[in-house]
Order: sequence, then C-alpha cells, then structure tokens
Amino acid sequence: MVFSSVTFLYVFLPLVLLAYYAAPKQLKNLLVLASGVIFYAWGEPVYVCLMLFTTLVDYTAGRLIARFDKNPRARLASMVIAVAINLALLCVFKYSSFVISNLNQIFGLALTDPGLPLPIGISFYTFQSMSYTLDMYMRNITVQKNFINYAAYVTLFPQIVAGPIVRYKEVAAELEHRTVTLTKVGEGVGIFLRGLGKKVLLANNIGMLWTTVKNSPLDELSVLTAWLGILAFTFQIYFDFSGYSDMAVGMGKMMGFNFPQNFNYPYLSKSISEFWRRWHITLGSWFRSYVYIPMGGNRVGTLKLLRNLLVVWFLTGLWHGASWNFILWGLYFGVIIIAERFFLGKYLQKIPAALQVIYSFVLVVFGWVLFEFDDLTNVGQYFGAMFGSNGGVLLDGQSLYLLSSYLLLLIICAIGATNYPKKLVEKISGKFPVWVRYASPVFEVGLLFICTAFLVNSTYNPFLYFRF
Amino acid sequence: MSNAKKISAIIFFLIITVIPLLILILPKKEFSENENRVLTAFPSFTWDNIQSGKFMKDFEGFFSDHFMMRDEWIATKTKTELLAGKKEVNGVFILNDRLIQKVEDYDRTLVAKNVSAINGFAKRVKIPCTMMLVPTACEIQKDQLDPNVPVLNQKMLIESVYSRMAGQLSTVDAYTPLYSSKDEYIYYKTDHHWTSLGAYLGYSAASRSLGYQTIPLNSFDIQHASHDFYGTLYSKVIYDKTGPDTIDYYSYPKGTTVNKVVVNTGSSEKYYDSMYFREYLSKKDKYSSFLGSNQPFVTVHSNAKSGKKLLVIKDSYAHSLVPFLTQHYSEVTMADLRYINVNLNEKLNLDDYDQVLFVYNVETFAEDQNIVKLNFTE
Repeated sequence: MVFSSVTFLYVFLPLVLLAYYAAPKQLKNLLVLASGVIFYAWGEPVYVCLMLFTTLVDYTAGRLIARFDKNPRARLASMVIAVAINLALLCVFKYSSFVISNLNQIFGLALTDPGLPLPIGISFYTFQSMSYTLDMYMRNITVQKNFINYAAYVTLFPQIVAGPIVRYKEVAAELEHRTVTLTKVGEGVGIFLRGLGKKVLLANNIGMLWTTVKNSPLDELSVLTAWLGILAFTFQIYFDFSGYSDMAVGMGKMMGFNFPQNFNYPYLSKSISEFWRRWHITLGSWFRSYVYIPMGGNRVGTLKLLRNLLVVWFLTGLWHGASWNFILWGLYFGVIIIAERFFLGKYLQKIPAALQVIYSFVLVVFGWVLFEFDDLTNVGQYFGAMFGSNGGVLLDGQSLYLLSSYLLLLIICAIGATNYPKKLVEKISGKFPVWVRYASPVFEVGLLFICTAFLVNSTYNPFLYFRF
Repeated sequence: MSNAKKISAIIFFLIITVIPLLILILPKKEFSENENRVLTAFPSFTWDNIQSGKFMKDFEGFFSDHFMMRDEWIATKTKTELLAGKKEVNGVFILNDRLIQKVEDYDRTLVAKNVSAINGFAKRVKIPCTMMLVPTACEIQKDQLDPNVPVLNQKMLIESVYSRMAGQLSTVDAYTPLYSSKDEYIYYKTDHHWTSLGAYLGYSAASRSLGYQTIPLNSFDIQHASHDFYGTLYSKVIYDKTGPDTIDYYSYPKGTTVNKVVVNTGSSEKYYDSMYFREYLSKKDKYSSFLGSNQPFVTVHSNAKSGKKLLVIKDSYAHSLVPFLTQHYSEVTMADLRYINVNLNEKLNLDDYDQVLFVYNVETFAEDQNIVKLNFTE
C-alpha cells in the first residue's frame, strides 16, 4: 500500500489508529506488528514472509550475541551468519538479474535469469533490521528479548517501504514505553499532512512535466526542454522522497514514536559533502556507522581513505538500484567528495555563499540525469540536449508550452525546497502568534481536502522507490 | 501552541473517520452515468484473490469509485490545476467557452495494420468501399489552443492514410468542409463528438464518393431535442463554465421515413420505430439518443426508393451521420468492430450490400485495436 492513496488515508489509517488508541498498553506493539504485516502484505502478499524471515534472523542473532556475551568467537559467528543471510537475501532478490546479465556479458555465459520481482522496500527493511545485529555486536545496544517488540520495530508501517531507516537504538526506549498525547498527535498530523501535500500536490504534478520530457525523443529535445525536464525531476524526487519521510515521521508521532529526520533542505547545501549530510540522512549515517568507520574512516592514510570513500559511494550507488547507472551515480558523488576533501573545498569556501549553493545544486542536477536513465546512451543524449550539442535549438514550441504550463509550479517548488517559507512563518508568528497558531489547523484541513481531490481522481501517482 | 495542535488532531480524525463511514452507509451505485461505465464491485475475499493481489487492487478501485461526492472532488482538482497555470487536465484542454479532447502522437505500426486490414477487406469483398476519416475538434479548432501545444497533425495523418488506400477505396475529404466551418457549432463544447451540423458536413462531403445528391441544409427542419447535454469531456474534468450543449435532430419532411430500427446487441434484438432514442435524453449520455449506444449491429430500414443497402463500419461518430444517409438508402447497417469478435460474414451477408462506408474519427482510428478483425473475412 502507498500512503498517497484514498484507501490508505480513509480506510487503513483510521482503522489502525483507532484500534491502536483503544488497545491496552500490552497489546500496542502487537498491533504495530499486525498493522505492519497487513500494510506490507497489501502490496506484497507473498514476500511478506521474506520480511518476517529477515526479522526472525536478526532477532535470533541478537539473542545469540547476548547469550554468548563472553565468547567473542560465538558472537562474531552469530553476527556474521545473520549479516550474511541478510545480504544473501538482498542479493538474490535485488541483484541476481544484474549480476547474471553482467556475468553472461563478460564471460559469454548463458546463465538463466530467475527474473525474481523485487520485494518492495527490501533495501529499507533489510538495512534497518541488519543495523540491530550490527549494533548488538558493537555493543551499542542491549538485547530485545521480546520477539513482538522486535518485529514491531522492523514492521513499523510508517517507514517500512520508503524510510527513514530507523536504527534500533533510536526507538529502543519507545518500543518499551511511549506516551501518546493529543498535542503530540496534532503535531504528527501537521507533519503528516505537509508530507502528503509535498507528495501529492508538488511531486506528482511536477513529475508529469518530467514524464512528458523523458518520453519525448531525447535527441530532438531543445535546450530549454531538457533543463525544464531535469529540474522537474530534481523537485519531484525531493518532494516525493522527503514527503514520504515526513508522512512517516508524522505517523510515527501519532503513535508515540520519534523517528529521525531524513531531509534537511538538501538543495541549500554549499557543497556535495554537505548535500549528503542533508539528503536521505539516515542512509548516509547507516553507511558511515557500519561501513566507513569500521573500515577506519578518515583516520587512515590517504590511500586507504580513498579506498574507504570509493567503497562507501560505490555501495551507496548500488543501494539505489541494481544497474550500472546507479553505481556510476554513487561514484560520481564519491569523486566529487574526494575532490572537495583534497583541494576543491578550499576554493569553494572563498567564493560567495550563493555561488557555493549554485555549484552544489548544478552538480546534483547533473547527477539526477545519471540516476534517471538506465541506458548510458540516453544519459549522453540528455546531456547533449542540455548543452545543445545534439544540434538542437535553444527553445522550441514544446519548451514554451511546457514552460507556460509549469512555470508557476516550478517557482512554488523552488521556494518550497528552501527554508524561506518556514522562516517567513516564524517571522509572522513572532508578531501575530495567536493568528498563526490557529491558522495552522485551517491550513492543514485545506491541504487534506485538496490532496483528497487529487487522490480521488489520480491519473499519475507513481511510487519512485520500487528499485531501491 | 498546544490548543491549536489539539484542534488539528481532532479535525483530522473526524474527517478520516466520517468520510469512510458515510461511504459505507450511503447507497452505492453499480453504474456511473457520468463516466458511462460499470463501477468496480466489492472484490470477493478468497485466498487466490489475496495471494495474487487482485483483492487489494479491486478493493482500491471499489473504494475510489464509490468515494463520496466524486464529482465535487474532481471539480476541485480541475480548479486547482487551472489556478496553477495548467491548460489541460486529464487529457482535456480547458478553454474559456469549451473543452477539447487532446489528441497526441499515434502508434504508426497500429495505423499501418489498420490501413492494411481495410485495404485487404476492400479487395476481398468486391463491393465499392469508401473511407471517411473525420478530424476531431483538436485539429479543426486548433487555433483556439496555445500555438505551442504539441498535438497530432491530423490533417497529415488523414492524407497519409488516404494515400495508402488509393486505388483500393474511394476516400472522403471531411477535413476541408469542417475546417471552413470551424467557427460554427460543429463539435460539442463538452463532448468529443461532432454535432449534427458537423455530421451534415460529413454527409455532404461523402456524396460524390457514395453517389447521391446532397439535400441542401436549408431543406431540413431542426429540432432542439435537448439544451442540457454535458458530455464525456465534462465528465473527465467536471468543469461547467462552458455551459451545456444542445442536441439537434435534423429532419427532412419531403424525404424518406424510417420504418424500423433493429438493434442487435449480440445476445438479443430490439426494435425501435425512430432513429432518435428519446429515452436517452433524460439520461446523462444524451449523444446516445442517436441510434443508441455502441452495439454490434444497428440496422435502419427506410422507405427510400433507391432500394440500396449500405454497410457502415464505424465508431460512434457514425451515429449522428446515419440519419442523413437514410435519405438515400432503404437499409443502412452500422457494424461496430469493437463489439464483434467473428467474421462479419457469419453475422450478415456482405454480398447483400451495395456499398461499404468506413467512418472513424482520427483518434479512434489511430488507437483502435479492433479494425484488424476485418482480416477474419479472409
């Protein structure tokens, strides 16, 4: 099930929340588990077993690691086996087609591709569940003996299919004891509805512009059309992804959980290194904690540091999809980050802040071209169109029509991707606190109604993370 | 701060619980007149349905189809999109006084298949065949759209199709007369069909190919059958600033009279004594008052002296055209390939007919997967 559907909003969510509030404390985690399983099975009626199996593996590993507290070899073995199972499942279901097609191509083999469909959210829940085993091994947390509590953590429906990747220690205390107050629910509602608005009103609508451009003949695009298209995707992926995260955080709050923030105005970053501290924050910190730092992080010689960075960015790319373009996309950022660390950073700091933001934004936009096209020929064609080297014109009828149809939405998206609206509200709030306070519920109800109108008649409502 | 948050929480829960309760309680329709389709039924709760995901998919369809005040929600969406600067919503251009269905690029392979199916049919039947491709409002009234909007050049498509039919069929240029009357009421404002006046222009354009003497426009009596028609385009966007359309019936007092209309629905036959099925005038789908909704076969018997029989292989554009043709044929049969899955010869004797006329609007012709069924007659 996706959050942005009338079935979720008007059937699943009210039923689950009412049951949840009505349930006695001891049953709440069981309800979280049950609702998560139904939510997941709604989209993956078969693979839900796979997710529960992963849960069981890491739960067992946690118990074993705690049990063999004094036996380093048994601890290590428990951890290694669990991580191996996690990764093996991920590889089989997500990467087997990719690996087989590459092996066939390189070695001229004829291995058959099992063609397994990718389970939704497998990368999110595997990473989430695996972090528990790793943290147990690194002694960052204490064991969870109650299977229902642990399974509730993995299957928490707000974040199961599109993040944020919540680490066990971030919710460990709340799994045992959490309080739900009407005020907190209200806060959650506000965050949820703003996220829904980002997804349904901004991402879906600007996404139609990108779909139009992407489906046009790429070698005939005018320069303006190409830029409009990739800017549209730049905003679509941000509002879609951060909208999903906001909805997750909001629903978490309605149920008494505090999930970590996943996005922090990434398009205002002044460098690519900073961008990755503001974009999909929970993924970056996952790789930092469980890959980069265990490999020595930056407290190593230059060569090893280069290796560590390239490994992390290779994996970051690969995490986003089983295809070379995602790997290149990850390495592209790895190379820029290495350059920033070794020499570019010094020069960057000397130029005006606005130019630093433009530098980062443009590089991120170029990155999205790599991200969006599987086929490297298309990537080349698209860059060709953006710089007019395909022999195309600067602008044509199509670009003018698209510009006039989407200009207002593009401006709204551009403003919405910054923190200026927030600052403005805070400023007005300083002068008219009561007025702003009570305007907020009105705004939220308005959002809910308009989002409902768009969902009832939705012609375009994609789920962008089906390859993650 | 906290009072406002509490208000948010309470209102949110009221809305997301009251709306589904109302949907549950309110009576449910099985058929949407507005969208002219059967609504998704509640899926059966079986293990197979769940495992395959069909239950979930159909449940979402059911819930969305029966969502209360669907039209009001759609209207809100349309207004919001217009406010945001969009010029088209759900594939419909919204102009000040009218709606136009957007016709985009087409599948060249499919059009080639359709052309060769029709050519092959014409070759086999040895009856004179005529082709009339009717441009839609998106072509004829293009000058009302944004000049940069990427829409299909229907004129070029018609020319290309006709050139490939040369020698096999005679072709009718409906484009030129429609274009010269582009500012007249030849297409409905809220529907994708042509009006009776538009159909008259088509009738007159076909006269040379079919070999009859066009009856002058001013010889017809025009009856305004309905002033309250909101068509298919309206249903897609629920935008009513255009006002309703008028349905006109053209009758020629000195001409022939219709004795009998036979509608063959595939499973049964129904008989009517007029080409105008007035019961549709009180429904949403008023265009269907022209010889009913699309059915496998509809035959009109008239007392025309010619004794000639015409087979019309068609889409719904033919429905407002056939009333004019009955002046010259004692029998006109409309066959709709979308509803026929067998060799035409099994259902009627092709040798009975003196002429065959193909009538399609460009959009259907470019998208219809059923024209290839003509190959069954091999």
